[in-house]
Amino acid sequence: MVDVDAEAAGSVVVRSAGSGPDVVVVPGFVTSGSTPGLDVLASTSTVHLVELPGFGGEAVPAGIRSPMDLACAVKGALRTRGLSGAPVVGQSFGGWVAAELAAMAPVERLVLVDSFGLRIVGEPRVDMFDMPRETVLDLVYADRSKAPTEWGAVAERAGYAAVARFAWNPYLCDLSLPNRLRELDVETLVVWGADDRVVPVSHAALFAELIPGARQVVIPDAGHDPSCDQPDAFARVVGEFLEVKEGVR
Amino acid sequence: MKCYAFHFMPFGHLEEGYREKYGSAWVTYSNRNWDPAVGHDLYRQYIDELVYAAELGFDGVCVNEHHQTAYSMMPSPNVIASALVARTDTAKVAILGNAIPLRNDPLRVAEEVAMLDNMSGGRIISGFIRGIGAEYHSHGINPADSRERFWEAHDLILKAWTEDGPFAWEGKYYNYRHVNVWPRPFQQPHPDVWFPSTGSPETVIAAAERGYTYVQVFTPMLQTVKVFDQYRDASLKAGRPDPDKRLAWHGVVYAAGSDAQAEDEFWPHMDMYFNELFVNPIHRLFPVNYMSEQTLEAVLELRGNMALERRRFDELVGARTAIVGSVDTVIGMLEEVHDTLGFEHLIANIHLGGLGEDKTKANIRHLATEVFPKIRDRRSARDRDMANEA
Repeated sequence: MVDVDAEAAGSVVVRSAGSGPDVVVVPGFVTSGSTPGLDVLASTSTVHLVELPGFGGEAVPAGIRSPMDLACAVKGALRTRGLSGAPVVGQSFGGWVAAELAAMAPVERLVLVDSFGLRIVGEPRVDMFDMPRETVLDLVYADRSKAPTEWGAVAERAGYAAVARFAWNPYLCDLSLPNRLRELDVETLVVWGADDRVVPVSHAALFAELIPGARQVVIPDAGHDPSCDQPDAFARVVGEFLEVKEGVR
Repeated sequence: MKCYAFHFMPFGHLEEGYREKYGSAWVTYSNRNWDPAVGHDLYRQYIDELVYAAELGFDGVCVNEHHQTAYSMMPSPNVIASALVARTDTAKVAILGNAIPLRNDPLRVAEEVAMLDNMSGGRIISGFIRGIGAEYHSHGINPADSRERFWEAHDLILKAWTEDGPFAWEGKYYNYRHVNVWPRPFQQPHPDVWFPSTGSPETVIAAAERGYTYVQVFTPMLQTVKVFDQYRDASLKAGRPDPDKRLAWHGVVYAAGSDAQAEDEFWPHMDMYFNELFVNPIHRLFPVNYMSEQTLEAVLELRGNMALERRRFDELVGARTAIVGSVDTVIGMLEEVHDTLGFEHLIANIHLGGLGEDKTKANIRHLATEVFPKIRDRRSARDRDMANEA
């Protein structure tokens, strides 16, 4: 008996918007919906927004126990939609999943935005699971009024509960991820909010150092989610790299 | 009815302003506040108090497990149980219980409890618990895995006690090529298993179906009625008769010369327990995935924000969470609780907060010599009604 969940790929929801070249987006834990920065990106490309199993409030399938399992489910879901190999943008926890996806299936281009997944030993970090739920968004957004949701209803914070399931300990990281990042053969851009208080900007440099040939761009006056804090700068940086900016492709 | 003495063994000396600085006496309350001289003396005092209770005729003594907190000095209840086993002869030693999901190697629990059972000649009661939310912050165990780890560890420990080894265990959280626990328990097939809980239906029903004794911890009497009825229904449905024999009520019991004396002597320590030592912010008490966020909302709606409400003497005694007063008052209230709830096991917390040794022992003496002899052989009104119906 093999004890894994063959239906996992079927539990991935993909919502598509916009027109133009395909871009797959794996969002963070705050919302599975769009953000102002992604809306701008959708004006020049077709944004396929991935909702990971569990992030919409339904139960996480029993066979999914790690970001690698999630990446595997996303891989299957993209294949059934004819999106295998399309460029992938991963934000926050979604960046970790996107990196795992790129390691197991080649993608055209990879963008990691304020991504979870690494640890810098000795660098203190706030534990976002050991604080009142109502204060977590204060940590995430440089300007809380820019948050795309207030988590007013329980269902709206499903992503937070789901992330805790995958990243409780060790905190927001997988100690073997660097091995896979070193072997990535994908053109990669690392994008970071300069004032990220969830994953400090020091992690941008570490991702860029580990992934061969990766470049990094730091967006000023942005926290953990530059697509909300600085939507235009976010869309410009990502759009240019993916060559989906108007007149580029 | 059987009567047990329970002790939380707190380190009841909190740093001035600790709440503002650390939020609570748990998880991050710095252990720089540990004073070994005080701690040494408290261990001696607390163990002496339980041994004294056993000497005066309590049927059993109870310990439990909490971590990284001034609330309790028993991160390993089995260590305290070992000291109690050595100093008692006939009393049961109830471990209420081992927080098995917090252990990465549940076979250690199977071994330690089996050792205690043999050392004591079969006097161990083996409780199993999940551990409270704060402990998932302290131990880095993912609360999302808590229930599954609990049941897998439970199944493994029971199998290790009851089936001939060696056998292999191929689980989700625990994997062993060779399970072959030495020693096996003294009691056959295994020590009584008790489930202490605050009333989660899943736990109540699981205990009932397995014939385990269910312990309702520190809950208003009228709320406990519903929980015990749920246990009875589930027991009978599972074909297990006499469920009342497997029900345990756990509250605070303090008796003194008069009602006023009891309140004066004990309230400062109740206050320290309910309003200081036990208090945890919601995100510590219920970390994400300890229960579903939907269930948490329902719990908070039902019980209010426990982190903010200050508990009062009249409220706690009125709800019979605490039974405090003269010997006669205590007897009357215990009779009322017993008649209303119908249970076999009365578990009395004989100490809270920073109660001194003299007063704790006086309380134990009142209970053992004046209170329990009056109620030990009584049948609950519920029991009498059932006998009449039959």
